[in-house]
Amino acid sequence: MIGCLMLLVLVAGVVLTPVLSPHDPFALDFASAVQPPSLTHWFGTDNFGRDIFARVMAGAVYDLRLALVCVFGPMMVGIGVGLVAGYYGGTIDRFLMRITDIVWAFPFYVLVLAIVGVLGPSESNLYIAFFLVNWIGYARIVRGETLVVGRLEYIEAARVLRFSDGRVMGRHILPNTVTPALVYSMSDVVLTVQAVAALSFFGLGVQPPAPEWGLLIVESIDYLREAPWMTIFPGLAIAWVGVAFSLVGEGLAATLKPKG
Amino acid sequence: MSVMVLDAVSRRFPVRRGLLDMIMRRPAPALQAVRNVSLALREGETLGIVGESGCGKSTLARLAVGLQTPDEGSVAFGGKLMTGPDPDGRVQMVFQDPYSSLNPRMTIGAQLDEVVARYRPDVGRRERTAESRRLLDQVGMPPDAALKYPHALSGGQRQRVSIARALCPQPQVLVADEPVSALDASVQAQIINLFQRLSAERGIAIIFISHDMQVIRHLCDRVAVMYLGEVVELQAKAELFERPLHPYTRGLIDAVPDVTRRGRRSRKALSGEIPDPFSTIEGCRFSGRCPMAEAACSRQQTLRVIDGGGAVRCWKATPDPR
Ligand SMILES: Nc1ncnc2c1ncn2[C@@H]1O[C@H](COP(=O)(O)OP(=O)(O)O)[C@@H](O)[C@H]1O
Ligand SMILES: [Mg+2]
Repeated sequence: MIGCLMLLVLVAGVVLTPVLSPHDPFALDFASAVQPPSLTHWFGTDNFGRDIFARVMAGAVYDLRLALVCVFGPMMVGIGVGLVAGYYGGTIDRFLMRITDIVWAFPFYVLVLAIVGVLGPSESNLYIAFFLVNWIGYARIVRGETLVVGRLEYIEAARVLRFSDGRVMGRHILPNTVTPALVYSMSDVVLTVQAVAALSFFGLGVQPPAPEWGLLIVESIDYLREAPWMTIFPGLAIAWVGVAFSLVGEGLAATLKPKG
Repeated sequence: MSVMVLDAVSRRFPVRRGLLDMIMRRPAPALQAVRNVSLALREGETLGIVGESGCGKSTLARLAVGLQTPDEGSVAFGGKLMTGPDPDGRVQMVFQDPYSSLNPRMTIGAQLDEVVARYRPDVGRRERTAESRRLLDQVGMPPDAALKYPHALSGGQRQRVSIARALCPQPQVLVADEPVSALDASVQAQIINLFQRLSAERGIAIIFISHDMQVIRHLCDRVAVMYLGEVVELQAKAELFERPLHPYTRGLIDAVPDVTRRGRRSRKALSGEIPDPFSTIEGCRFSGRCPMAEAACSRQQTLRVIDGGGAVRCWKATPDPR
C-alpha cells in the first residue's frame, strides 16, 4: 500500500515536472551554478547550473525503464522455461536446467564487461546483458513450484480430462506457481535499479549526458563537500525506488496467498 | 463383457541411490508398488479394491486411468490398449484428497465450464453456465456453488464437485481412489449413496478403492483384496464376506467391529508388521503375519481360481466353510 503510494509519488513527479519545476534538465546556466535547494530549485543545482530536481526526474525515466524492462522481460522468459522444464521433466528438463546452471555459474559483472568490451558501453547493451542473465531466477523458482503443483490431484484430474498441455500449464499450473516469482520480481527490480546505476557509475552502461541516477552521482562526486545535494538527491531517488518496490513485494506476498 | 482389463500389470518406483550405494556399486533399489495384477472390470459393476495403506491401491488406480504406465503388463479399455489417459475422457478418476483435487484459483463454475467446453462442443458459450449448473445439480449441489472458490466448500461438497467434473465426459469407467476416506462418517454415507446412484442410473463401471471393509461391503459387487502390491483374493462380495478364503481377508473382516454379531465375534485383528515393500520375498508375502503359516508357505504362491469363480493366492485355502 505505502509502496504503491511511493511509486505513485515518483510517477506523478516525473509527469508533472514541467508544471512543478519548469527547468530544462540539460540547460546550462552558469549564473546559478551550485546553488543549494531552494523554492525555485527544489533539489538545488549542479556545477553547470542545471536543476537537479528536473535531472533526477528525467533520470527516473531511464532507471525505471531499464529496471522494468530488464526484470519483466526476462521474467516472462524464465516463467516459460520453468513451466516447461517442470511440467515435461525428463530430457527437456535436464537440458533447460543445464543451460540455467551454465548461465548462473557465469559471474554477471564479467559478462557485462565482456559484452561492453565487444559491443561498447551503451544502454542497449545493458539490455542484452540483463536479458541473458535475469531469467534464471524465475526459471528456477517456477520450475520448483511446478514440480510441487504438478503432482497435485487437480493437475492429475486435468490430465485425465485430456486438457491440452498449454491449458494445463497456463490455467492450472501457472496461477498456482507464479506468486513467488512475482514477489521475487519486486526485489529483482530493486537490485536491477542498483545494478543499472552501478554499471553506469563505472561507465559501462548509460552514457552521459543522460541524467541517469548513477551518472548523476558520478558527476557529483567531485563536489561532495561544497554541494552534497548533488549526490544526496539521486541517491535518495535510488533508495526511494528500492523501499517502494520492497514494500510492494511484501504486500503482494500477503495478498496473493491462496485462501483456505 | 469387460470394459477394462488389466493384464499382469506391474509398477516399480526406482528409489534414488545414496552416495554410499554408488560407491558400493549396489544396484538401484526399486519399490514394487504393484506386482503382476490382473483384473477384469465388468460392464456396470462396482469392483472394490481393499487393502491396507501402502499396498499399492492408488498406484493401481493411476495405472487404470493411464496417469501412469505399467512397467510390465498392459491396460486395455474397450478392447484397446491404453497408452495414457483416454483421449475421449471415458475413464475418469475421483481422488482421495478433496482439498487438492480442485484448482484453488478457479471458481467451481469456471472449472466445470472448461470441462463442458472440452466435452460438449455443441453447447454454446452462453449455455455453458447452465450446463455446469446441471452437472452440479446431478451431484446434489446448489447452483450458487458455481460462484464459489474451493476453499469456501466443505470436504464433502468438494468431493461432489470432483464427481460432477468426472461425469461431464460421460465416462464408462470411474476410478474412485478412497473418495470418502477423508470425510466425516455422515458425509461418507451421502457420497457412497451418490456412487450407488451413478452405478444404478447410468451403469457406470466403478473401481472403488477403500481400506474400509464396511464401505466396501455396502457398495461393491465384487471385491479384490490387495496385499503388498498383489491381489491375494478376488470374490463376489457376498461370498467374500461369507467365507473369506485368504487368511489376510479373514483378518480384515475380523478387524471390523461387528455390532450385529456381537455374540460370536472372533476378533483376531491383524497383528504384526507389513514387511517393507523393497523386500523380495519368494513365497507368500503375508506368511510373516499369518496365523496359519507353515514351512510350505515359502513356496511361490499363485492366484488360483476356486469353485464359484473366485480366486485366492494361498495354497491352504479351501472353499469349504470355516
Ligand atoms: N510416485 C511414487 N514414487 C515413489 N514411490 C511411490 C510413488 N507412488 C507410490 N509409491 C510407493 O508405492 C507404495 C504404494 O503406494 P500407494 O499406491 O499410494 O498405496 P495405497 O494407495 O494403497 O496406500 C508405497 O510404498 C508408496 O510409498
Ligand atoms: Mg492411496
